[in-house]
Amino acid sequence: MRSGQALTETSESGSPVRVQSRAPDRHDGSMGFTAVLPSTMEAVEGAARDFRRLFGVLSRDVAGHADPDPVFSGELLLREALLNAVLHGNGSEAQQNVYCAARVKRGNLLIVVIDQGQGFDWQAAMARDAAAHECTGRGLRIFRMYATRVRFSARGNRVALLKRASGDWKREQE
Amino acid sequence: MTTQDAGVAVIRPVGDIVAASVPDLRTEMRGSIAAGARRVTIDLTRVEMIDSVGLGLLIAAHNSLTRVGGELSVINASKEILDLFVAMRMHQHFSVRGAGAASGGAVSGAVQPNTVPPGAAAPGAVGLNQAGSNQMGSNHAERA
Repeated sequence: MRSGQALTETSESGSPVRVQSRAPDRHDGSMGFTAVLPSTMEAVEGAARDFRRLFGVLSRDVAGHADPDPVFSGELLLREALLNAVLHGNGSEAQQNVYCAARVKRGNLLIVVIDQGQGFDWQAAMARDAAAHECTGRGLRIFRMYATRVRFSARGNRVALLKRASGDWKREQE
Repeated sequence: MTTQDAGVAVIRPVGDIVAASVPDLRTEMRGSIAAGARRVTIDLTRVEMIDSVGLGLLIAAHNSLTRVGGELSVINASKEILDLFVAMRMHQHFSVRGAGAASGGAVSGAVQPNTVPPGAAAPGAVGLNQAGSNQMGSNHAERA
Protein backbone atom coordinates (compact mmCIF):
# COMPACT_ATOMS: atom_id res chain seq x y z
CA MET A 1 0.00 0.00 0.00
CA ARG A 2 1.55 3.25 -1.04
CA SER A 3 1.65 6.07 1.43
CA GLY A 4 -1.23 8.45 0.96
CA GLN A 5 -3.16 6.14 -1.33
CA ALA A 6 -6.88 6.78 -1.20
CA LEU A 7 -8.76 3.60 -0.33
CA THR A 8 -12.26 4.91 -0.72
CA GLU A 9 -13.26 8.13 -2.36
CA THR A 10 -17.04 7.95 -2.32
CA SER A 11 -19.58 5.81 -0.56
CA GLU A 12 -22.28 3.91 -2.43
CA SER A 13 -24.70 6.68 -1.51
CA GLY A 14 -22.46 9.18 -3.22
CA SER A 15 -21.51 10.93 -0.02
CA PRO A 16 -17.87 11.87 0.29
CA VAL A 17 -15.68 9.51 2.24
CA ARG A 18 -12.17 10.72 2.71
CA VAL A 19 -9.76 7.92 3.56
CA GLN A 20 -6.03 8.25 3.71
CA SER A 21 -3.79 5.25 4.18
CA ARG A 22 -0.28 5.22 5.51
CA ALA A 23 2.50 2.91 4.48
CA PRO A 24 4.66 1.56 7.32
CA ASP A 25 6.53 4.43 8.88
CA ARG A 26 10.26 3.93 8.48
CA HIS A 27 10.88 5.20 11.98
CA ASP A 28 8.29 3.51 14.15
CA GLY A 29 6.77 0.92 11.77
CA SER A 30 3.25 2.23 12.34
CA MET A 31 0.61 1.76 9.67
CA GLY A 32 -3.03 2.67 9.37
CA PHE A 33 -5.65 4.96 7.96
CA THR A 34 -7.84 7.88 8.88
CA ALA A 35 -11.25 8.67 7.45
CA VAL A 36 -14.05 11.18 7.71
CA LEU A 37 -17.34 9.44 6.98
CA PRO A 38 -20.96 10.46 6.57
CA SER A 39 -23.32 8.80 9.05
CA THR A 40 -24.52 6.01 6.77
CA MET A 41 -24.35 2.23 6.83
CA GLU A 42 -22.66 2.32 3.42
CA ALA A 43 -19.85 4.41 4.88
CA VAL A 44 -19.45 1.96 7.79
CA GLU A 45 -19.21 -0.89 5.28
CA GLY A 46 -16.66 1.01 3.22
CA ALA A 47 -14.45 1.69 6.24
CA ALA A 48 -14.73 -1.94 7.38
CA ARG A 49 -13.78 -3.19 3.92
CA ASP A 50 -10.80 -0.83 3.85
CA PHE A 51 -9.72 -2.07 7.26
CA ARG A 52 -9.95 -5.71 6.16
CA ARG A 53 -8.05 -5.00 2.96
CA LEU A 54 -5.29 -2.99 4.60
CA PHE A 55 -4.75 -5.08 7.71
CA GLY A 56 -5.48 -8.38 6.00
CA VAL A 57 -2.55 -7.73 3.71
CA LEU A 58 -0.47 -6.83 6.73
CA SER A 59 -1.38 -10.12 8.40
CA ARG A 60 -0.72 -12.20 5.29
CA ASP A 61 2.67 -10.64 4.91
CA VAL A 62 3.71 -12.18 8.20
CA ALA A 63 3.82 -15.85 7.37
CA GLY A 64 2.61 -15.98 3.80
CA HIS A 65 -0.96 -16.80 4.79
CA ALA A 66 -3.80 -15.00 6.45
CA ASP A 67 -4.01 -15.02 10.22
CA PRO A 68 -7.62 -13.88 10.45
CA ASP A 69 -7.91 -13.53 14.20
CA PRO A 70 -6.37 -10.06 14.72
CA VAL A 71 -8.05 -8.82 11.57
CA PHE A 72 -11.44 -10.18 12.69
CA SER A 73 -11.09 -8.70 16.16
CA GLY A 74 -9.92 -5.35 14.88
CA GLU A 75 -12.62 -5.11 12.22
CA LEU A 76 -15.28 -6.07 14.74
CA LEU A 77 -14.12 -3.35 17.14
CA LEU A 78 -14.04 -0.79 14.33
CA ARG A 79 -17.52 -1.77 13.16
CA GLU A 80 -18.99 -1.47 16.65
CA ALA A 81 -17.37 1.90 17.28
CA LEU A 82 -18.62 3.21 13.93
CA LEU A 83 -22.13 1.81 14.49
CA ASN A 84 -22.29 3.57 17.84
CA ALA A 85 -21.17 6.81 16.27
CA VAL A 86 -23.45 6.63 13.23
CA LEU A 87 -26.61 5.22 14.80
CA HIS A 88 -26.54 6.70 18.25
CA GLY A 89 -24.02 9.53 18.29
CA ASN A 90 -25.13 11.17 15.06
CA GLY A 91 -28.61 9.65 14.89
CA SER A 92 -28.00 8.38 11.32
CA GLU A 93 -28.05 11.93 10.01
CA ALA A 94 -25.91 11.54 6.91
CA GLN A 95 -24.71 15.13 6.94
CA GLN A 96 -23.14 14.55 10.35
CA ASN A 97 -19.59 13.28 10.09
CA VAL A 98 -17.74 10.54 11.90
CA TYR A 99 -13.98 10.69 12.21
CA CYS A 100 -12.13 7.42 12.55
CA ALA A 101 -8.51 6.36 12.69
CA ALA A 102 -7.00 2.89 12.89
CA ARG A 103 -3.30 2.36 13.38
CA VAL A 104 -1.05 -0.56 14.17
CA LYS A 105 2.17 0.23 15.94
CA ARG A 106 4.50 -2.28 17.54
CA GLY A 107 1.80 -4.92 17.42
CA ASN A 108 -0.84 -2.79 19.08
CA LEU A 109 -3.97 -1.72 17.24
CA LEU A 110 -5.46 1.63 18.20
CA ILE A 111 -8.86 2.69 16.91
CA VAL A 112 -10.27 6.16 17.57
CA VAL A 113 -13.81 7.14 16.56
CA ILE A 114 -15.40 10.54 17.15
CA ASP A 115 -18.97 11.56 16.37
CA GLN A 116 -20.71 14.94 16.42
CA GLY A 117 -23.46 13.93 18.80
CA GLN A 118 -24.25 14.98 22.33
CA GLY A 119 -22.53 12.00 23.90
CA PHE A 120 -24.04 9.55 26.38
CA ASP A 121 -23.62 8.12 29.86
CA TRP A 122 -20.95 5.66 28.84
CA GLN A 123 -20.15 4.64 32.40
CA ALA A 124 -23.69 3.39 32.97
CA ALA A 125 -23.78 1.77 29.55
CA MET A 126 -20.48 -0.02 30.06
CA ALA A 127 -21.71 -1.41 33.36
CA ARG A 128 -24.87 -2.78 31.79
CA ASP A 129 -25.16 -6.16 30.09
CA ALA A 130 -27.92 -6.99 27.62
CA ALA A 131 -30.45 -9.47 28.97
CA ALA A 132 -30.47 -12.83 27.23
CA HIS A 133 -33.55 -12.12 25.11
CA GLU A 134 -32.67 -8.56 24.15
CA CYS A 135 -31.71 -7.87 20.56
CA THR A 136 -29.59 -4.81 21.32
CA GLY A 137 -26.99 -3.74 23.82
CA ARG A 138 -24.15 -6.06 22.81
CA GLY A 139 -21.80 -3.53 21.19
CA LEU A 140 -20.23 -2.40 24.43
CA ARG A 141 -19.86 -5.99 25.57
CA ILE A 142 -17.87 -6.55 22.39
CA PHE A 143 -15.67 -3.62 23.43
CA ARG A 144 -15.14 -5.22 26.82
CA MET A 145 -14.44 -8.68 25.41
CA TYR A 146 -12.24 -7.77 22.45
CA ALA A 147 -10.40 -4.59 23.39
CA THR A 148 -7.50 -4.51 25.81
CA ARG A 149 -8.46 -0.99 26.83
CA VAL A 150 -11.55 1.15 26.24
CA ARG A 151 -11.47 4.88 26.84
CA PHE A 152 -14.34 7.29 26.31
CA SER A 153 -14.11 11.04 26.46
CA ALA A 154 -15.99 12.56 29.39
CA ARG A 155 -18.94 13.40 27.13
CA GLY A 156 -18.87 10.03 25.45
CA ASN A 157 -18.66 11.08 21.81
CA ARG A 158 -15.06 9.91 21.42
CA VAL A 159 -13.88 6.37 22.03
CA ALA A 160 -10.35 5.00 21.85
CA LEU A 161 -9.98 1.23 21.65
CA LEU A 162 -6.62 -0.43 22.18
CA LYS A 163 -6.11 -4.03 21.10
CA ARG A 164 -2.83 -5.56 22.05
CA ALA A 165 -2.26 -8.00 19.22
CA SER A 166 -0.36 -11.19 19.78
CA GLY A 167 1.28 -13.85 17.67
CA ASP A 168 2.29 -13.19 14.10
CA TRP A 169 0.84 -9.72 13.89
CA LYS A 170 2.87 -8.55 16.86
CA ARG A 171 6.07 -10.06 15.56
CA GLU A 172 5.47 -8.43 12.19
CA GLN A 173 5.45 -5.03 13.78
CA GLU A 174 8.56 -5.44 15.90
CA MET B 1 -30.41 -18.51 -0.42
CA THR B 2 -32.99 -20.62 1.40
CA THR B 3 -34.14 -24.19 1.08
CA GLN B 4 -37.31 -25.17 2.87
CA ASP B 5 -39.20 -28.41 3.31
CA ALA B 6 -41.74 -29.69 5.83
CA GLY B 7 -41.21 -27.02 8.44
CA VAL B 8 -37.44 -27.07 8.09
CA ALA B 9 -35.54 -24.21 6.47
CA VAL B 10 -31.83 -23.82 5.82
CA ILE B 11 -30.72 -20.26 5.17
CA ARG B 12 -27.29 -19.73 3.64
CA PRO B 13 -26.32 -16.05 3.82
CA VAL B 14 -23.66 -14.92 1.39
CA GLY B 15 -21.42 -12.24 2.85
CA ASP B 16 -21.30 -10.71 6.27
CA ILE B 17 -24.22 -10.54 8.70
CA VAL B 18 -23.78 -6.91 9.66
CA ALA B 19 -25.87 -3.78 10.02
CA ALA B 20 -25.95 -3.06 6.29
CA SER B 21 -27.07 -6.57 5.32
CA VAL B 22 -29.37 -7.39 8.22
CA PRO B 23 -32.57 -5.93 6.68
CA ASP B 24 -32.42 -8.32 3.71
CA LEU B 25 -31.62 -11.33 5.87
CA ARG B 26 -34.38 -10.38 8.30
CA THR B 27 -36.85 -10.37 5.42
CA GLU B 28 -35.66 -13.79 4.29
CA MET B 29 -35.89 -15.29 7.77
CA ARG B 30 -39.26 -13.72 8.39
CA GLY B 31 -40.49 -15.20 5.10
CA SER B 32 -39.30 -18.67 6.04
CA ILE B 33 -41.08 -18.58 9.38
CA ALA B 34 -44.22 -17.14 7.82
CA ALA B 35 -44.14 -20.01 5.32
CA GLY B 36 -44.23 -22.48 8.18
CA ALA B 37 -40.62 -23.19 9.01
CA ARG B 38 -40.19 -24.09 12.65
CA ARG B 39 -36.69 -25.51 12.57
CA VAL B 40 -34.50 -22.87 10.97
CA THR B 41 -30.80 -23.47 10.39
CA ILE B 42 -28.42 -20.67 9.48
CA ASP B 43 -25.46 -22.03 7.49
CA LEU B 44 -22.51 -19.67 7.95
CA THR B 45 -20.22 -21.33 5.43
CA ARG B 46 -19.92 -18.12 3.43
CA VAL B 47 -20.05 -15.65 6.32
CA GLU B 48 -16.84 -14.06 7.59
CA MET B 49 -18.14 -11.42 9.98
CA ILE B 50 -21.10 -10.87 12.30
CA ASP B 51 -21.54 -7.63 14.23
CA SER B 52 -23.81 -6.73 17.14
CA VAL B 53 -26.73 -5.97 14.82
CA GLY B 54 -26.33 -9.41 13.23
CA LEU B 55 -26.22 -11.01 16.69
CA GLY B 56 -29.41 -9.12 17.53
CA LEU B 57 -31.10 -10.53 14.43
CA LEU B 58 -30.25 -14.08 15.50
CA ILE B 59 -31.62 -13.44 18.98
CA ALA B 60 -34.81 -12.02 17.45
CA ALA B 61 -35.17 -15.09 15.23
CA HIS B 62 -34.60 -17.34 18.22
CA ASN B 63 -37.24 -15.43 20.19
CA SER B 64 -39.75 -15.65 17.36
CA LEU B 65 -39.17 -19.35 16.74
CA THR B 66 -39.25 -20.27 20.40
CA ARG B 67 -42.57 -18.54 20.78
CA VAL B 68 -44.14 -20.80 18.13
CA GLY B 69 -42.47 -23.95 19.39
CA GLY B 70 -39.66 -23.81 16.90
CA GLU B 71 -35.90 -23.85 17.08
CA LEU B 72 -32.97 -21.93 15.61
CA SER B 73 -29.56 -23.44 15.00
CA VAL B 74 -26.34 -22.19 13.47
CA ILE B 75 -23.87 -24.39 11.62
CA ASN B 76 -20.53 -24.06 9.86
CA ALA B 77 -19.37 -21.07 11.87
CA SER B 78 -15.71 -20.10 11.49
CA LYS B 79 -13.45 -20.27 14.53
CA GLU B 80 -13.62 -16.50 14.94
CA ILE B 81 -17.42 -16.48 14.81
CA LEU B 82 -17.61 -19.43 17.19
CA ASP B 83 -15.42 -17.52 19.61
CA LEU B 84 -17.68 -14.49 19.21
CA PHE B 85 -20.81 -16.55 19.93
CA VAL B 86 -19.22 -17.92 23.09
CA ALA B 87 -17.99 -14.49 24.21
CA MET B 88 -21.49 -13.10 23.68
CA ARG B 89 -23.10 -16.19 25.27
CA MET B 90 -25.17 -16.83 22.16
CA HIS B 91 -24.59 -20.58 22.54
CA GLN B 92 -26.70 -20.46 25.68
CA HIS B 93 -29.73 -19.66 23.53
CA PHE B 94 -29.42 -21.94 20.53
CA SER B 95 -27.19 -24.59 19.02
CA VAL B 96 -24.01 -23.22 17.48
CA ARG B 97 -21.66 -25.49 15.59
CA GLY B 98 -18.42 -24.98 13.77
CA ALA B 99 -17.40 -25.97 10.27
CA GLY B 100 -18.11 -29.60 9.39
CA ALA B 101 -21.05 -30.04 11.75
CA ALA B 102 -23.88 -29.92 9.23
CA SER B 103 -24.25 -33.69 8.96
CA GLY B 104 -24.47 -34.13 12.69
CA GLY B 105 -21.32 -36.20 12.93
CA ALA B 106 -18.34 -35.62 15.14
CA VAL B 107 -17.67 -31.93 15.10
CA SER B 108 -14.47 -30.10 15.62
CA GLY B 109 -15.05 -26.88 17.44
CA ALA B 110 -18.71 -27.48 18.16
CA VAL B 111 -20.22 -25.57 21.04
CA GLN B 112 -22.64 -27.58 23.11
CA PRO B 113 -25.84 -25.61 23.41
CA ASN B 114 -27.72 -24.88 26.57
CA THR B 115 -30.94 -24.98 24.65
CA VAL B 116 -33.98 -23.08 25.71
CA PRO B 117 -36.79 -25.66 25.40
CA PRO B 118 -39.27 -24.94 22.63
CA GLY B 119 -42.19 -23.01 24.03
CA ALA B 120 -40.20 -21.69 26.96
CA ALA B 121 -39.36 -18.35 25.48
CA ALA B 122 -37.17 -16.06 27.44
CA PRO B 123 -39.05 -13.34 29.31
CA GLY B 124 -40.02 -10.59 26.97
CA ALA B 125 -39.77 -12.65 23.80
CA VAL B 126 -42.28 -11.53 21.24
CA GLY B 127 -43.57 -12.83 17.96
CA LEU B 128 -43.11 -11.74 14.40
CA ASN B 129 -46.14 -9.54 14.19
CA GLN B 130 -45.93 -7.88 17.56
CA ALA B 131 -44.40 -4.51 18.09
CA GLY B 132 -41.48 -4.64 20.46
CA SER B 133 -37.74 -4.35 20.71
CA ASN B 134 -36.96 -8.04 20.62
CA GLN B 135 -38.66 -9.25 17.50
CA MET B 136 -37.10 -9.72 14.10
CA GLY B 137 -38.30 -6.36 12.88
CA SER B 138 -36.64 -4.37 15.62
CA ASN B 139 -34.09 -1.70 14.96
CA HIS B 140 -30.77 -1.18 16.63
CA ALA B 141 -32.45 1.35 18.84
CA GLU B 142 -30.21 1.47 21.84
CA ARG B 143 -26.62 2.47 22.06
CA ALA B 144 -24.74 -0.67 21.19
